Amino acid sequence: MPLTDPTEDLALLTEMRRGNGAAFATLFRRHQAPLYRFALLRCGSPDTAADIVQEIFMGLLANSLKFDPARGVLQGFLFGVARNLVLKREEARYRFVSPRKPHAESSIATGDTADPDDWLIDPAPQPPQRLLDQEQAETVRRALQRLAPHYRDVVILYEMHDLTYVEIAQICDIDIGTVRSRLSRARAKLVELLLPDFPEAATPATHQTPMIQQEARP
Amino acid sequence: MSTPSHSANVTRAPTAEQERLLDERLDGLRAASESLAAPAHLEEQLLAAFRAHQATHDATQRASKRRGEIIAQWFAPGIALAASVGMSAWMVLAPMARPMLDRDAPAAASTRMSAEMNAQMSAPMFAQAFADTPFIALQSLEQIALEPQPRLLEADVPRAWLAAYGVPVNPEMAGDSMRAEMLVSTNGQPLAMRFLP
Repeated sequence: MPLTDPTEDLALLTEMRRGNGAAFATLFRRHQAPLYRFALLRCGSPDTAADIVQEIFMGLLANSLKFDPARGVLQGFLFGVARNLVLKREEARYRFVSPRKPHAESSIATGDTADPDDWLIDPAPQPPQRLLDQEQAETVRRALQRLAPHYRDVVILYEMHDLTYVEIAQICDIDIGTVRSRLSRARAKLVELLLPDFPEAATPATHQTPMIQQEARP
Repeated sequence: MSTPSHSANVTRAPTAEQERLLDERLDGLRAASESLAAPAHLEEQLLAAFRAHQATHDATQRASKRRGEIIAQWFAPGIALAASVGMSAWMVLAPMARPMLDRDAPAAASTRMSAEMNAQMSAPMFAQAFADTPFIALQSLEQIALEPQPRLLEADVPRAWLAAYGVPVNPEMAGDSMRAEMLVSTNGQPLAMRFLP
């Protein structure tokens, strides 16, 4: 479900392209916070997140981003641009990660499998940096930060921005089934990472059961 | 036997209680990050960039418009002259291409058309009907243009004539006749002709 009205977004975009500065300012105020939060939770750096937001809106004002209303809403398009910009920045970081290199996390999918899509844990994590004041929220954020980027994408978009599977599939350029499975695996991984922080009542399951399918938004 | 990578990929499925706790924690993260937004100075920077971009864009458009005006100012006489020459050439050449449209052609055409059709068609329609089939020049264009009073004759000609002009002819129909119009000079010399469908 889009956070902003797509029709109003389109009208603002049209006005902005006619040179209306107020329309551009309104568009910025409507979209900057969700985009910033996405970029921040995705890459873990406030500076990088601010740079990404700036780059998105510079692209918008220079008309270098080709938004097609027939293919989706503006918000989804901007999330897609943000994700691509994050990926671009990450390229250098992951270039030197060997896919077969053993990782400290031996009990879970790490860097020891050839297919990067199987990685659940980020093989080249960013240095830890405190971003949130609340201890518990910061712990969850750090656990999220440890997930591999493609798992982090779906968790952030689904859990933090209320987007649907369809919208996430469009943004991440994957099919809906992949969104569903990544979300399910990512949540299971998050539980595992946060287990030490959970109350004693939530003891680990002692037997292997199929992953619980989340109640899905359409 | 499972490989290490296989075992590594297996993640224990969370219990319902763990799922609930995870939802709680994610809600907490969401609430804590709700207030996060891009730095305030970013909006000012972007608005300044927007104004600058707009100013550049407007300046470019003004310059482009001015260039257009200059071009129009300097080249207008040339364009007018070229148009005059073009018009003159057309006036000289047009009668050559369709010499009899206004005079003999309607009369010739009327012989082939029923009286009803003739009554329904206006002079421009006649002209259009004839204009669709081009003439084949039999003399040089200069010679045709110099002819003071060309005449248009309509006649039945053997279909085999088509072959002489590069049009394929069915041998079985080569003996048939077909209608043709011929432009002739005052002394009877053929200037141009066309075959009628």
